[in-house]
Amino acid sequence: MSEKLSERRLIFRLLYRPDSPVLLGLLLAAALAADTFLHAVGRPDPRPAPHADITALWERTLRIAPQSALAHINLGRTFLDRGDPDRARRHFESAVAIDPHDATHWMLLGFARYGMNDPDGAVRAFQEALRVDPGMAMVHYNWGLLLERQGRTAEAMDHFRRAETLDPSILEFSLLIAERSVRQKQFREAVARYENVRQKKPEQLGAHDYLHWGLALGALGADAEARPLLQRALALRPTLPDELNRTGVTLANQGNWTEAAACFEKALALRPDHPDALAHRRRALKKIPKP
Amino acid sequence: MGPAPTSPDSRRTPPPFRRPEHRFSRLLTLAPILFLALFALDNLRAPTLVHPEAYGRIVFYGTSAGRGLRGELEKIFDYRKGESYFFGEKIYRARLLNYAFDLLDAKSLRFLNAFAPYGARSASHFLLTALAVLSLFFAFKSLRPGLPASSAALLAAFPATFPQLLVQNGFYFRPAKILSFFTAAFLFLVWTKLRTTDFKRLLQDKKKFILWLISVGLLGLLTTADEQAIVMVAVFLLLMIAVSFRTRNFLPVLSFLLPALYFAVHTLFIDPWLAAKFAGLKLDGGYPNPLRLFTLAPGLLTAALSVSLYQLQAVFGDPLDSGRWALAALALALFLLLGRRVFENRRRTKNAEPLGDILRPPLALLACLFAAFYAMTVRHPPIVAWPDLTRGGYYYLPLALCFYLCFVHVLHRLGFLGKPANRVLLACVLILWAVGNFLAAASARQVIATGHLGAAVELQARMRKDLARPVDDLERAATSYPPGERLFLHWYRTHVGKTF
Repeated sequence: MSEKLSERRLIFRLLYRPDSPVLLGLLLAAALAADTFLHAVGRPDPRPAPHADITALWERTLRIAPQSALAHINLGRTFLDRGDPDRARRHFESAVAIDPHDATHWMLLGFARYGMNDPDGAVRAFQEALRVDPGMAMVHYNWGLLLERQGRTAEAMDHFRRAETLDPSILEFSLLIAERSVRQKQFREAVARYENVRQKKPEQLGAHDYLHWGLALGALGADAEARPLLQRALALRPTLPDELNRTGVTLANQGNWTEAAACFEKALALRPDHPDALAHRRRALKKIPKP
Repeated sequence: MGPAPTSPDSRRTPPPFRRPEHRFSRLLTLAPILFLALFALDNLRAPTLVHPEAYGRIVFYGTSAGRGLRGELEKIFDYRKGESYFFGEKIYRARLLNYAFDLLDAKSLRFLNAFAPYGARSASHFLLTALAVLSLFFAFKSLRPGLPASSAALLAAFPATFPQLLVQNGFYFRPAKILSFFTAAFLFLVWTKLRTTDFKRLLQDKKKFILWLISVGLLGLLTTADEQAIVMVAVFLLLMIAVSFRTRNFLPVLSFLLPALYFAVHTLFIDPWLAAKFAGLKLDGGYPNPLRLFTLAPGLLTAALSVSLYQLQAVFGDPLDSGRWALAALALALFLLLGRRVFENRRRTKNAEPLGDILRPPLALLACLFAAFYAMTVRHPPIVAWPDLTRGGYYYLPLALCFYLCFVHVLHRLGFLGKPANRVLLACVLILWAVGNFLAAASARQVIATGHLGAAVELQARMRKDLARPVDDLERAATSYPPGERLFLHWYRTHVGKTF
């Protein structure tokens, strides 16, 4: 009888006084014990699982949302990064079919087509991108890179300048033109552009920019003005002479002695006593065929 | 006339002792402290991680422009850097407040790491979480006048244990969503304060009127935090319009209409002007219009629904993620017992509010928010397709808070919060859920570490080791990093130090 009563009291307490401390304490302890046991039994393998592949993730996204232009574009980008422009092109074409009013889709399609050694197809896509958005500076930039790789430097520079005119706020265009101008020995144009960038956003200038600016000024005979710029380049990136020397060695191994010599020259402009660059330049200059 | 004479007896009488509301009322005071302690503890245990997209922004905002305060503030208007856009693409998102808090985060990362092992934490995460908890505290006090401060604190501090929020503890990405989280809390506060006030009474009280103006101004500013923030203001506005026809009180409508109008003016006129003046940018409105691409894909719709339901269960103990089924079962059992008590009480009450009337507004709010969430998935489907993103919590912070606010609102309307014993029982349930959430955050981090950020987690472990090396070794090691990480390594070593 008493047992029955206590049982009833317990049920009563559970139903009507569940805030009883004894009951709560017991339940919490039981729950924690059960949890600890279950967790210990079902403990996952402590070895870290392999990372999800970004391509697999985007493919999964496409299975859920097959009409997502964004998923096609990003999947295409991953294939571009992996050096598979053909699969990238297929996804960019799907993105273009879903949303032909986005100039970026056309631009990326052009990029992939160029990677597939189809420059005509690339140009058609770039033209389409400019038809959708005539103000898209980035298309001219990519078109310029394409022409540059074909050796059509004058036309490439023309496209770079158009990109700069369309969007002067992207200072990377100005810096690119300035660097190419130094290569083509158009030092005044280069100096004017570097000056312009310094006035607008000095923090945009990196070690390479200061180096080229210094070289341009040096070529124009303004050594006193060039020196602090070269020092600034070295301060921003102390390992730049070593990096240039290594690049020069790579180019020399490929038989490109002229560009290799230019790299060694740049390394020596920053650190005139760089022993490796001195020796390599001497060797490179001997190898360059005399006109 | 002197003071009234008092009898010696009355002087000996002890002051009236106020009986505590309930034997275990202390639990109501301890629970919010426990919630905040869990939040702090999670911060201590969380390994910090910088999202790879954030490196460039940390360097940009963290480096001094050399033009004083003006130079630093001008960076806020450079939306291109703020969005870490793909070079040259046309993206414009009117998220000015987000950029301002991003600047604060980068500066605090730079300066605090120089003094303490602050790691890759986001200052705005802590600041806005604290502000949201504070807003919710005052909102719950207004929601049910006479609710003891301890109970309001209990309800307000619980969101600090959301797994969605805890997972963001050691994560540096961008403050847009935590700003939206605060926006949801602040909207709720404004609504609770205004629902019983009309225009006439507001104009009569000068202090109240000024507070109203400040609140509406702040809401206007918050609309520029993120798309989710403006969506929430719009959803609240729609709901208020629907309710105002019955209540004939148009003050809440006006209070949410003004910020929405400000957003339109800001996006069309103010932002382009600011960007042109301070960053030399010509805004083109190039951000794709989601309505143009809006499609009803069955797969995406079911995925969005499933992820939304996951976020709902994640708020309440998250047994699926933590695997702590017994804790969840106990919490559910206690909650059902609480429900039984309340519903019995409702049965005894003659003029109890119909259940339909109680459930209709929160369900309408959640339906609108789900529609907005679906629109977001159309624009960015990975948020429902990638397991690490669904567990990551970042995108769902505001939605999770709205679930919780609806839950508390329904509890209040059903009369759960009325009796002290009920509140104590609710505190027990919330404690169990908070412990479940705390455990779930740890397992969610494991999912993130094996997701699309897995490589970044490993790379950062390597970066930490490389940062401690001598400069020459660091320079050599840095060449093997991607450009963003390399830039950050150089910047961090130059401006902050060796430990990260």
